[in-house]
Formats: sequence, C-alpha cells, structure tokens
Amino acid sequence: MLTAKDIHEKLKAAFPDSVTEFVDEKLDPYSVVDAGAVAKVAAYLKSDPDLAFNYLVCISACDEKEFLTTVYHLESCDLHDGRIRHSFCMKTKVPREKPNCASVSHVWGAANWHEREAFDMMGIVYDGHPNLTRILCDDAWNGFPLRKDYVFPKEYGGIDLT
Amino acid sequence: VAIFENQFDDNIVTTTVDAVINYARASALWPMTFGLACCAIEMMAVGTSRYDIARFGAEVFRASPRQSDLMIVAGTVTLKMASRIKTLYDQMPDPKYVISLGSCSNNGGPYYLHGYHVLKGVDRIIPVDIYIPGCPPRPEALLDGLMKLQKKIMQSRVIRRQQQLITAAAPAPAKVA
Repeated sequence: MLTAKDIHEKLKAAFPDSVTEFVDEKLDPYSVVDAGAVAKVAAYLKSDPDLAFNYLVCISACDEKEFLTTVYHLESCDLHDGRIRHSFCMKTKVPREKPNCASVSHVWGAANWHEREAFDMMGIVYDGHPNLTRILCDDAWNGFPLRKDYVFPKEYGGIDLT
Repeated sequence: VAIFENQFDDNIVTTTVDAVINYARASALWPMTFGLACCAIEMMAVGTSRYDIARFGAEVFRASPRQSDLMIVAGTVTLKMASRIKTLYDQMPDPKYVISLGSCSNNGGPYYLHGYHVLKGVDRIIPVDIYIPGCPPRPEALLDGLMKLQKKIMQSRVIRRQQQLITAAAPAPAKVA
C-alpha cells in the first residue's frame, strides 16, 4: 500500500523535470505533471511493477479561468481478487490559448472516450489521440459548452433557441 | 336523423361519416416505438399489464414511423435529436398526432435556463396536440392525455374542407390537468 506521497517521490525520481509539485490535500492528494510529458509518465505508472496502475478510473476536465486542468484518477487493481492496492491522482494544466496535452489513450484504452469528452466539452486537445472528434455534441457545434466563458447559441440549424 | 329510425332491418345503423371515421381513428392509435429519456420509462410502464394502454386501443407500438399515427415525444429533445424527430414526424402518414410527454419536451423543463443543448419545447419543430406536464408524468397522466387526444379526434371534421375548420376555430390543444 503506497501513499500518494510515496508515489509522487517515485515519480519525481524518475521524471525530475516533468513532475513538478505535490499538493497534499486531505481528500485527494495529487501531483502536477507537465502536460507534454503525461504520456511518458502514464506509461511508467502502468508498467512499473511496484506501481502497476492498470485501471484508469476517470479523466475529468476543469476550467480554472487562467488554465484548463485535466485530472486523472488511477487505481492499481489486483486482477485476481479485485482488491485495490493503491490509488493516485495527477493533474495537468494547460493554458487557455494553447490547450495541448499529451494523450494517454494508448496506455489505458478507457482514456479514448474520456479524452474525446474532455475535448468536446472543454476544448482540451489531446495530441496523439487516434480519433479526437466530438463525442456528445454535433460535429458542427461551435465552442466548448462547459468552459466558463461559453456563450449559449441563439440559433441552431434554423431553430430559434432564445 | 330521427325519421330514419326503425325504418330498416336489424344490423343497419344510420350515422355520419365523421363519426365513423373519427371513431376508427381514435380507437386504434398506433404509437411509434420511440423514447428519448426517463419519460420513456413511464411510457413503457403504460404498455405493461398494470396500466395497460391496450384498454384504449393504443397498444400497437410500431417500429416504423410509416406505420404509426401517434408520436409520443417522451423525454428531453436535444438539439442533436431535433432534426431526427422532425424527419420521423415527416415520415408518418396523415392523419398524425403528437403527444408531448413531460416537462422537457413541453418547454425544456429543468434545462430551460442552462441547457445549452436542449430544445426549449418540441412544439418549436413539430405541431403538438396534447401536452402532459410532469417530471416524469405518472403513467395515469399519459393515459389521461391519450383519452384527451381521443376526445379531440372525435371532434374533428373529416369531410369538410380544412379551410372551414380553421375559420370555425378548431379546438385548441388541450392541457392535461
């Protein structure tokens, strides 16, 4: 059973440049990872025998005004009895103007649709994603609905929305 | 009509064309198998033996719009779905009727203020005969709406010209209490 602090130290040792700070919140401690290097960190988290994060619980995206955050919740599951060995949370922060983050969909298959949803709702671009298209909204949709500065459409396909 | 009474053999009934055609239409509404959200669960419940929509002759849920004459818009009409609903409605043969089931399809419901993706009422794309409020409405409410629709159909005039119907102020869409 590794604590989040232990995992962060291990990550920091492996990627001294990419893993920056550790925020020791009571409920959900997390590490901040460089957006461009998150794919490498993810591959390490999964393949390292001590960490063995084989389960991506969820990818969430937040609009924090100045930047957009992607939150990865990870768990290491024992494949025989389903016991959770340890869990971890990491975040990447990308600027609004250039919201490019590395994709982890080739590490965890579950990330594929989660990243598409984050792209659809928040406009975070996941470089290296095999099919980064809108998943919920129409393909012709303008803007990213869950951003704080999103302006509601007045009209859609000839239908008045006011 | 009274002078015809008792003038014929048994099994001969005198009536109007309107009454016969309206009776046929109102007694055998074929809804389309079509649900959008949680209201559709209530619509399915209406089809079960507990509520039994078959008592009112509307149990034949058809899998094709070309075979149905009643569209029950059961659930949230998203913008992505709106064009599909319009297409389905256009594919239904006349005469066709629409029941708007639940707050979402009536006017957007809980998504009215902050739903960027929800159509604020299905009546913006297709004409609606009956609005049923509720979130979701009880199965009894749908049955009540169905009976209201049948009443409305019974009032329609089949062989008179449509223009006369409009000038004679056609009955307004009934709201179920």
